[in-house]
Amino acid sequence: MKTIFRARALSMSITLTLFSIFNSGAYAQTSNDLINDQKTTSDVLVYGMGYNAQRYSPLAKINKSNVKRLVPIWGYSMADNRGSEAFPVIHNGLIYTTAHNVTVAVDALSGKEVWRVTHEYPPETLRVVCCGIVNRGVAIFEGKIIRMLLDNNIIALDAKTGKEIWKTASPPPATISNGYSMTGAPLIVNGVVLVGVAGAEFSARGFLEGYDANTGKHLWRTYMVPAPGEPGSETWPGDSSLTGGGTTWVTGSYDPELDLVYWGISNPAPWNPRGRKGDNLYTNSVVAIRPKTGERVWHYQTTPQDPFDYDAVQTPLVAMIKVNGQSRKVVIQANRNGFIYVLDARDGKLLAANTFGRVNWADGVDMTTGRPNVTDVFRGALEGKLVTVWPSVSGVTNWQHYSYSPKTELLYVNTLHIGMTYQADEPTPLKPGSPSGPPSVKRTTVLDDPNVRGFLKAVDPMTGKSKWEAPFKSPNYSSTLVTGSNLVFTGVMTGEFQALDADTGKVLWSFKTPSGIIGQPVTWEKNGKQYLTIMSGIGGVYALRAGDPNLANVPAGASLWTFGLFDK
Amino acid sequence: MPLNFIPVIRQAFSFWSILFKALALFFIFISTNVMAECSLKDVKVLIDEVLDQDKQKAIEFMKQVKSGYDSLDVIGKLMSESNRAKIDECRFQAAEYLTKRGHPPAH
Repeated sequence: MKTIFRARALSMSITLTLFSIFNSGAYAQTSNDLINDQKTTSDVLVYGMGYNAQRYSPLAKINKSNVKRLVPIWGYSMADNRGSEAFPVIHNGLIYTTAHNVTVAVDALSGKEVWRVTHEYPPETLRVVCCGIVNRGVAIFEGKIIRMLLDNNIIALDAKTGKEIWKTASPPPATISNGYSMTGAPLIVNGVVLVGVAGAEFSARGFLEGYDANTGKHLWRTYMVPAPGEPGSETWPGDSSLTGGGTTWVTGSYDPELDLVYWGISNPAPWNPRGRKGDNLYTNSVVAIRPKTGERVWHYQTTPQDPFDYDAVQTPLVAMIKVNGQSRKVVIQANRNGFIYVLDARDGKLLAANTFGRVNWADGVDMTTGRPNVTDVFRGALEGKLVTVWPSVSGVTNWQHYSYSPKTELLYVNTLHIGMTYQADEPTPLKPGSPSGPPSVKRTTVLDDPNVRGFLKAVDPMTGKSKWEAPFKSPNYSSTLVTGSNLVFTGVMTGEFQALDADTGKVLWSFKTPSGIIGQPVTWEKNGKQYLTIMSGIGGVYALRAGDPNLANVPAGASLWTFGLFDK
Repeated sequence: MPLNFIPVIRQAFSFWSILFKALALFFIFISTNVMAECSLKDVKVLIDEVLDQDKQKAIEFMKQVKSGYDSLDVIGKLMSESNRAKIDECRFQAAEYLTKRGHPPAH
């Protein structure tokens, strides 16, 4: 009798376990699923195609010999005319993506809309959106699609239906009137939704914060600029830190083994440095954060007392690379200031810092102190002199994401080749919400060649040297993706989605989408076939503000595209 | 004489009077603390007035922008305080319009 009872109990428990596994496979993306994202090529669950943000896929079905047969499978209109910067998340046959005011789920193979949710925000929100009315995508966790909204709300939707599960407003002072907005994509680590803010051009005081993914409860907030009296406040005069920028508008990365989140911190506010003498911690830094508590474990500052908007928000990428012949886990950041930094992932120790574009504000980095060896250009800027600076405020790279191939051991990074004249007048007082970027300095654009404003480069992260450089008329603000077949994919602002040879930089394939591309390519497989997905839709800071004549006639219009090999 | 004031004082502190004053104060508070809504149509007219109809201001605008000052900031400074506030309420759209007019702001 006991044996029969045990057998029935065992059978029931096996059934329940199988049911729960089946169910979790369908809609519950557990923390383990997110950790294994880079290995599971049938889906794309984490911003950056894996917690390490390498944007590397081992998929190799599309390769150098067949890439010319790549064709669009379908296109889907977002019915929006703003910039399309979103990272598509793919799971269980659906693609989830966003515009600034819309979240959609689309069938991955047919492009048919499954659900579409529109989000409204107050019209005054746009006053503090400095650099494009955009959103960079969603995060997925246990059946929920979680995103940020421009007006500082975080929202969770049912992945099956789009129905709202929870919505939480970021607590005060994160309001539009205080200069805050949200344009990024969340990062979910062990059930904590990590969220960053924008607003360093509107005198906001930046922070990173954590929310419970299941309930939306606010768990913690870590300011990236200390208040007077807090550690680091000695690097700010008076109470200038309270309007000091240091925002967190681009998504970070995570290392599960060390349980550290890596996040890039923005420029100080105002751009004009003359009223904030000191290093201005923790602006323009890479910080390592404990995701459960928000505790700052280490930081490395790239541009102390930055005058030039050298916003260090570029996603720190985690990789194992050889340093002095030894394999070492590192964090790599190709920084807007023109240097590639390689830091020890455990403690932030500087291992390498070399330029990967034209730089004249510093002639190197002191490897003992980690500080830049600044030149007269930098010193002159602090004194209010008129100087010519490379790179410009747009940087050698901007927010667009680079990829890293463990096969070629190279970083594939879209760069800008633009300088500027610069002068900072006497600074004016600020209050939260007041413009603190362009009005605070004078600048004009300087070009070497108006027909080469950017390059896609394959760079050795330890030396900064390029294996190859592909010139582009206008810089690419699309991110890059590199695959196991040594193909690099990226988008061009005139609309071309391209595949380049990762070994030589030769363009092997190109398809013209209807608008300009500033989106993030991803790749995935289904039923034994490899696909690529990217958004097209010009917008964002460069297209809106650079006055680049090459882009004057590029039509707006956001759309989502999926490509595959032509079968016949 | 003092007796004449009693109804006035009574009226001043009556329930309805206090409620009315409180509501008036509330609306004054709201109107001064809530941001006004952007009116792009008005802003376009204001920008066009500086660039197309006031030769001196247009010359000053071009001179300052050429020297590196931010076009959005400059155009606001060439207007009255109330019109500058209208531009500020509409910063993003005003910047887009200036870009269309060939004077993109710096960021």
